[in-house]
Amino acid sequence: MTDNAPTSGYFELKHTHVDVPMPAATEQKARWTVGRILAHIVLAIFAFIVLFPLYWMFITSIRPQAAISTAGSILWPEEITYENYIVVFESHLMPGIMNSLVAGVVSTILAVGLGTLAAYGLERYRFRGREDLAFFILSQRMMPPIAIAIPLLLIVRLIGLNDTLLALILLYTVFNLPLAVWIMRSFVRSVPVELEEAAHVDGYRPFAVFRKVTLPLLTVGIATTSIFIFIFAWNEFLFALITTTMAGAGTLPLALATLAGSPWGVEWGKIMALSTLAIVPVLILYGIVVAFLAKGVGLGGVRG
Amino acid sequence: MRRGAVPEWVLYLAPAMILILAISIFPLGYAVWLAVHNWSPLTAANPPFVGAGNFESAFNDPRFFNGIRVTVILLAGGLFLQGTIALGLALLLARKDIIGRRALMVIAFLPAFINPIATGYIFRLLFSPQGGPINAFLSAITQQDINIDWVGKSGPALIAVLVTDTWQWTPFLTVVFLAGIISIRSEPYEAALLDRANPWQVFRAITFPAIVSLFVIMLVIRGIEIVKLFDIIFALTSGGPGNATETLSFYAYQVGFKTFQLSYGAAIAWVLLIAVVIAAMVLFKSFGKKLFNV
Repeated sequence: MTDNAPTSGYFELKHTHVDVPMPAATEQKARWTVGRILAHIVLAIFAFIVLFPLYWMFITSIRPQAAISTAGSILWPEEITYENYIVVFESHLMPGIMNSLVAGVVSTILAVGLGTLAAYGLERYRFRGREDLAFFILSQRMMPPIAIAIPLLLIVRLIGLNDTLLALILLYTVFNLPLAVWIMRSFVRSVPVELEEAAHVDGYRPFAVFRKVTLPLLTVGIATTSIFIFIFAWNEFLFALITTTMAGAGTLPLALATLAGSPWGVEWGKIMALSTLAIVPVLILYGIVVAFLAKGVGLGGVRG
Repeated sequence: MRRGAVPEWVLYLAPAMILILAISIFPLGYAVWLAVHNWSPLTAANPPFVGAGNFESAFNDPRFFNGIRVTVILLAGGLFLQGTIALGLALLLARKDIIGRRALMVIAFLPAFINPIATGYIFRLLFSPQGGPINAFLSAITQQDINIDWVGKSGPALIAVLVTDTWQWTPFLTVVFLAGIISIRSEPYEAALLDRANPWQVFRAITFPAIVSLFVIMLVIRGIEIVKLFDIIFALTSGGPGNATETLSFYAYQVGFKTFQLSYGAAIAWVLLIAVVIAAMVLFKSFGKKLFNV
């Protein structure tokens, strides 16, 4: 696995997560050496550091605004309120969540769809400059977004797409295409080419081979790639900030920034309520993908 | 391979390429045009040509060099902290006798799922100078009254940005490294056991060589992300206090969107882009194409 790229890393990660056998018996039998005790202490600290900010986010979201600034080291709220969540659901912030969902879902479908096609073209055909083209596509991911933010703002305004979801969808699709191509390429590579050749011999037209043979075997790859792409689109901030407003196509991250810039001071309770809500779609997607991988859907095909 | 009037691969690649060229490459060209003119809301109709003027201004601008300095500090500090901590934790988690190992792997995904803007605000609360949990915690363990004004002082503000980015991405890196370590075959370890190699020798001779390319490529990706870092800084410090946490990306944003010197902003962004491209090419040449899996 020496030429392991993060793409396969991502892939293995899902498997690791699902498949690592954890025999309870050996756990109990293992002896408590000094090294093992130290390892547990370090990992416990790690878990605490990872979880505490999330705990603080949640706890702040159910604190009354007045108690937040003086909360200090008080680890448990003396008084619980759901007011922040109610306000978020009833306010102008709700469309922000919807905008984020629409921009995220549509751009993910487009990026993964076009990315899968491009990955297939790059992986299954030999042509001159193929590797250069692949590297060019990948290099798009390295570009600092600020480098095109300024001209894009002018262009988006010029063609009348300022503050529209369509602009966000197009931008997110393009920004995530390189990643989609890159990850999908390693999944296409893992589909046995013999299957495609067999279908070809059976008289399938080239695109039918892709659609009826390769595509069904890419289901797991497409699901895995989609969750990554969706998270990137769901969290994108810079372009939402420069092209949208909360009265129009503003997204959830923009809603957070708007709350922080509120003339009535930083509304911490609402910010944290919205931050907590922002994880929900991501967790749901993650759960679906993990369940999907655990069942091994689409991992069939020929072996040997 | 297969024949046709238009090569088939063109059909597969065309939709993606057309979008990339239209929405990514064309604006880059437009940015060059902006950078060599002097566009402002007043001169929007017919901006005067200034040639390399904007680039000259950049190289005489202390804030520009401050942006480079902050970017380099965050890059070096972030890669060092995240690389070493994640590798160390992955080695610990690779032990099969860890209780709650699976739960730890699930937990480790969580920070990467948090919206970076939200992360910035969460840490602004945690770092809050008046009785924020971090100061409270530091006071408790040192038994002294610690009152660090984290986001209000230059040094602490940089540390705060570094800690926040490290919190968000180290756990994810840990899981990726762990996946790499777990996939190493067990035979070399069994041989090492017979040879009575100590843990450090095992790490040097077996584990690290097996995951070194995964390690490097993840750090390259993280490095690119740190150079692009925008949201966390926006929410946590807004580049302040003063310009203490203003990266080059953030400075280009300030210039372009706060003071509307679009041309100057485009010039700074182009300098950043060229630096990233050169760095990427050096890495690409020195580590080979294999590493990038293209």
